[in-house]
Amino acid sequence: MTTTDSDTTGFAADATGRIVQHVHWEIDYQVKLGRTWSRFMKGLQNQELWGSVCQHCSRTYVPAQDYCEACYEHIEEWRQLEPVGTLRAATIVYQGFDGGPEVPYAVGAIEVDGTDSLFMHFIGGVDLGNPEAARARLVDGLRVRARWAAERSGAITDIAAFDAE
Amino acid sequence: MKSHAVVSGVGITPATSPRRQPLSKNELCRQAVDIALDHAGCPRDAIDAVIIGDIAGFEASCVATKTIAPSLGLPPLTAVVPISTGGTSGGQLPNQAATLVQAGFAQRVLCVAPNTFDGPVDLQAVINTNSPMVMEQPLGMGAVHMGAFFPAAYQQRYKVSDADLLALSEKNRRNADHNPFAHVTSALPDALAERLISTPLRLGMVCPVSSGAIAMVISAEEAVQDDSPNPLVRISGHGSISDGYLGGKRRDFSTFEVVEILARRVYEQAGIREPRRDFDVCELFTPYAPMEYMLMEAFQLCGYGTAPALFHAGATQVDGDIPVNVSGGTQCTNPGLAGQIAPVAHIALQLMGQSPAQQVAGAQRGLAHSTGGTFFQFHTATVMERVGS
Repeated sequence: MTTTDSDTTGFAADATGRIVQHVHWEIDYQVKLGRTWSRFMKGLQNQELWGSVCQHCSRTYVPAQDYCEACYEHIEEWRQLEPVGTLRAATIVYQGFDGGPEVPYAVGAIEVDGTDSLFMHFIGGVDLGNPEAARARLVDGLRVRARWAAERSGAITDIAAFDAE
Repeated sequence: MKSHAVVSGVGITPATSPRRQPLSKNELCRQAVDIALDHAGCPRDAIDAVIIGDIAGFEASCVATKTIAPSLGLPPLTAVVPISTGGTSGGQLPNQAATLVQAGFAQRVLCVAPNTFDGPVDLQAVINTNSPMVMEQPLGMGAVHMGAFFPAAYQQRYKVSDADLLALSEKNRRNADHNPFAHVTSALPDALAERLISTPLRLGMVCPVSSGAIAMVISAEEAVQDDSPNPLVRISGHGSISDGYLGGKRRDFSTFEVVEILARRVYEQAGIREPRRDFDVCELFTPYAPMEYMLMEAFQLCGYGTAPALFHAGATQVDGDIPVNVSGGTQCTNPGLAGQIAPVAHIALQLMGQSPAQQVAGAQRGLAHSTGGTFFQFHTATVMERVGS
């Protein structure tokens, strides 16, 4: 069987002769971040990392959230945090996806000092050329510090990466 | 009339790749339904309700249930229940069917788990819409990269080697060699299997994109016990659980904390006291092979960090004392919804003594699991036992 090019009706036969119809929807969305995440993102834009603190149990969350997962209370208190922390888990990506960053790159789960949640982000400052050496470096306990992006727009990528110290 | 819920029929279509699948979703579902009804000896007009799963938005449709249901040839006024809980939709179908039966709302419920990966040209792009989009998806994390955090943390915490992970994926491919419904088998070349995707995951540890459908008939035990052509398999415990949605909500990636809570709940319902002794066979949803170790531990089949030793001792092989993923598992075959219900379907057939894969001799009780969400935030469990011996 040979492939038939799509005709004007949008129908085409695939490599085995079955008829498939090409469907393409181009859809854009506007996703509201809400009050808490908007405030968190504005902080990043100003090169500041803010967490939310539960008044009842003192747990601190980054990204900030307006309720406590441990005691279910509403959270109103904010605390500015030093953008440093400890890597808890990481993966080095050797096969990415269309539209994603150029491989290889590393992403990690970071325990920002003074918080009770993990913060996912890019990990920088480690040579990824040698997978085994890089894996040995990117382990639980590695100290990391945020490197701010030169251009910031109120998005999670306002932090370029957390670099190994 | 309230009753125990039993699996009375299972229908599985052969799995292949979406590229090679000649049937439409409706045709594939109907084929699975025909096989399941025939297996159960159940006429179409005996079906009280049909539960159809779907991952909304994964294909070029919104609620596929509404187009699948009319194509199944069921009588007018059959109740139609759509279920769309992402990666656990398939696992929810028999559980919710059991709930309808146990509550006395229905005597025979048909569950339909379609293929859900056939449409997208770039499935990864579609799955990325399932990730926490504002906080985490912009950080270069597709599903497989999020999935890689768990084995990375597990390896480090328990000193598990890459060889331990590779050996596990090889065991499952060898099991798939005996399963006519499996997609990837030990024919997968080593060079491909070892290709690094996202540390520590290699291609051979990552599920394929498959196409296929599965249907099951869940019935009231009292309604079918006299004329069922198959041994009845009772659903003796079932449940589901969710974790925080952001990946960072997990303080510890080396374990599936919520699965342990789910296991305790479901085991209490089913009277499971010592999981390793009480279960004869388990099918755990493992799109990434290393999850098998972690889920064995979370389901209390062994202590934390001890699953690799159990595997190396042969305990999880088909002739071991606690066989796991005898079908080859999700790692070898993943047609979306049908992949999610597959653990329940395979355990039911094992307990009927009719496994299309290798049969675990004398299996009486089994555990099936499904999970979804790119960070595995959602899980279901189903405990089944054969009625009589």
